[in-house]
Amino acid sequence: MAAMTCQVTSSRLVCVPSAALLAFRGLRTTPCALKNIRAGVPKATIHRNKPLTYEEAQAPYKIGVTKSWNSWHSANLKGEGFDARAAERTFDDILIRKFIKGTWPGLFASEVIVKRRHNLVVVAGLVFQQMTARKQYFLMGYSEEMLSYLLKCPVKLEIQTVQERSDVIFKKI
Amino acid sequence: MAASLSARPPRGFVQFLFNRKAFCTSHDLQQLSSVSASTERSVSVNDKGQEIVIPRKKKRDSLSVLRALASTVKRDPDSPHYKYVDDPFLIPTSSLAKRSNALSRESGRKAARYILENYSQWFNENPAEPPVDDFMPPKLAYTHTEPTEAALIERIEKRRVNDAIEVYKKAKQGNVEFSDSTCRQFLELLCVYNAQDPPVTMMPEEFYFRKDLGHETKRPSKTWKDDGMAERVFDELQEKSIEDQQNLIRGMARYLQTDKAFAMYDEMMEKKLPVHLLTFNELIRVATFHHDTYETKWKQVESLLMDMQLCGVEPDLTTFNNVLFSLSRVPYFRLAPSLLLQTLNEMKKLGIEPSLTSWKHSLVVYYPNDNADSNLLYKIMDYLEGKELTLQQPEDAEFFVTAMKRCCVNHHDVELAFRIDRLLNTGKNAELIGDSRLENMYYSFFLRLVCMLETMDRIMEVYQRVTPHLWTPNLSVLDELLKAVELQDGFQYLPLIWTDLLLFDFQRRAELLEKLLSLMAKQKQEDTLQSQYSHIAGQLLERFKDEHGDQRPTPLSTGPMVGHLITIAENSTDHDLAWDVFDTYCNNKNAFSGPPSDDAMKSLVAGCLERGDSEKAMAVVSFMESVEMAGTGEAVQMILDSDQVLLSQSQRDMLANI
Repeated sequence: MAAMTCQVTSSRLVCVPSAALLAFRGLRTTPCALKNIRAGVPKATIHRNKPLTYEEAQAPYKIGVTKSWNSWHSANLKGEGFDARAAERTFDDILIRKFIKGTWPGLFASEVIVKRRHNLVVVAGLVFQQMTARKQYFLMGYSEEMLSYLLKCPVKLEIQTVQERSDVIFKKI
Repeated sequence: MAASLSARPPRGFVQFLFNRKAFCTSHDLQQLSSVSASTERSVSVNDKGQEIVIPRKKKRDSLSVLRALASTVKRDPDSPHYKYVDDPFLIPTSSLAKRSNALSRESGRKAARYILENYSQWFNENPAEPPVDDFMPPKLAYTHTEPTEAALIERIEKRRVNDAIEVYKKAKQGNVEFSDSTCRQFLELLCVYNAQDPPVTMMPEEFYFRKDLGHETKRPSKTWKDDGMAERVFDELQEKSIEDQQNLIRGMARYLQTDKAFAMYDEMMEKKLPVHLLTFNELIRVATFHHDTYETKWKQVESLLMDMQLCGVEPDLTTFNNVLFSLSRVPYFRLAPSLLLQTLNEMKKLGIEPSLTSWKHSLVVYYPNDNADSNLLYKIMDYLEGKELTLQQPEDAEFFVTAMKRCCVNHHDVELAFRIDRLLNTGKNAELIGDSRLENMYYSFFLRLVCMLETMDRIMEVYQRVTPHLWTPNLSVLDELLKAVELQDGFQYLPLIWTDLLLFDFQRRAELLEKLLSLMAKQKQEDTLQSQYSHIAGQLLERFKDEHGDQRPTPLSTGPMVGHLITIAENSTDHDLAWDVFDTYCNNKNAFSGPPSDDAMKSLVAGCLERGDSEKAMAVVSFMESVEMAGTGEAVQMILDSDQVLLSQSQRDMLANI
């Protein structure tokens, strides 16, 4: 993008390639406008009764500010090569999230947080108290064991319970 | 410095510092050395004129900080056990919840294991380098399926006894010859496992609760298969070596076929063949199952020990523990105590440290019943004080329960009980409490003794330390606790005991709740405490109304309880509550067993009269009459005598009729 200059005209940012580049390319291009600031931002309703959890309420541009990531691992750091298996870890995270969603149907109150420490995968989240404690323990033992067998590494579940849905509602828009 | 930086030292920052130091001036060096000099014993005087002594720097190894931190990690009595999740909804406090939560978690694991074993085709990919075997499906398939020698060896190695027997039988039909060593290995397998598959290893929580689940209830009995596979294979061996004979003896002894075992042993002794230590151990253990009288049983053990000496075999800890086990099976034998002491002396001479099993058997011999008088327990505690113990044999776990039981039942000594508890809490000894049944018994004995003999404050201290996370009390302990409250006027603790009843899920135990409420109703307490009592009474009534409406079982279930609630309410001058209770009772007489007590009714009448409410008083008295209570006459007199109430003529007539 170094060859393009960004000019601010009225209230929009317009990126215009330099004349040299235009002449060189011979492509027909329309100027692209970097005006997309609405992706991932929940839309307000007329009656302002759509409930959002804290995480849902933060827009994507707040990531790293007031919104954090749901998967934590060190495979994306600079210097980690192919052997860090970043792609496989992402896939494993998808597997974990699908598994938890199916095993705890409608019971997870928050997103599934996946953290990796050395060989250990920690799956954390908030769960509703709809199920009796005995059933929750059954599902916890089952999930930990099953995920260990699937991912071939020890998996621990760190769960906190929450009484009802209104406890995790942050705001209504 | 710039030069060193541009040279890009390999270790980055550390190298930079190192290079920096090289450029220190001599003045800096002096400063550094003076700093190090001052960490040695230097005495300086602060402005208050006190001497400040800076101690010498101690040499510490690299692990000392970690060790110091590790020593702070103990079992925290305020938090639940590690196996439970630390969340208020998921923390179990009643014993049923503890058991079911731990077992549900384990059954979840079992379910996952079932899927792994039965659908193993989905779990075969192992990206770990090196591959992790524990998370892979178990390899159950055999490589050799034909009845050959290799197949037999494979099954012996995998300890699949039934399959091995099958292969052997098929091979014999097909006239396959086995080598001597294979036959010997096969014989050993059969002797160790008594010609059947070994029992499935229980998972940790299942093992911990096995007695509550009914797994371990059988007394030792003969299970050896006479003329079974083991003996057949033995007979088919051409030359029966010493090892083979001993394997057979040990197998028979383990499964309590004592006649044949001892017969074979006598044969071996006659032929003057060398006998191994393990064989002696097994035989000593079952010697008491072989004979009938105490004398002959002990004689057998003694002769075995003398044979050991003749053979020149050195005894070990297992030998002595088996001798003590045999003695513990004959506790009423008059020579048993002295023989026990002799055995312990022998152990000492040989330098073998007695394990907890030895102490447990000693206690069984010296305290054969609940009335025995001895001071062996004190001596054992003196010996064990402050030691960190390890689990060497399964019977070690029974030591603490036996010690606490004897301390509480035979000695009634609280100080000794606290000593035993302190030993349990040193280091990692808490793991030696064994399984859940033994733990329950231990704490049950401990707390019952404390409740019987200690002051109220001390009792509550111990009680609150131990419950609810280390252990949940049972009915007998709570009974003793309430007795102690009654004897020692510990009425301020009753609200705490009520909340604990809710925690332990005992609120529906009628006798316990009745006792608790009767103590609350016993006398009028000072204001804050009395208001707490009436709050509890109100709660019970609310629960009754809710739960009875839904037809669920509710704590408030007997007439006497109702009476106590009325008394509590009247004591706290909450007449509305008292009337509410009475009203509910009258409307739901079927829900309650037994009538309220006289005194409760009378106090209710008194309360009504104070309010000047004659209607209500009349209602109460007519109820009393209908149930034919003894105090009806007095209640009537109370109404007639009272000057707070104006009675109409009809009311007077009614009263006259009663």
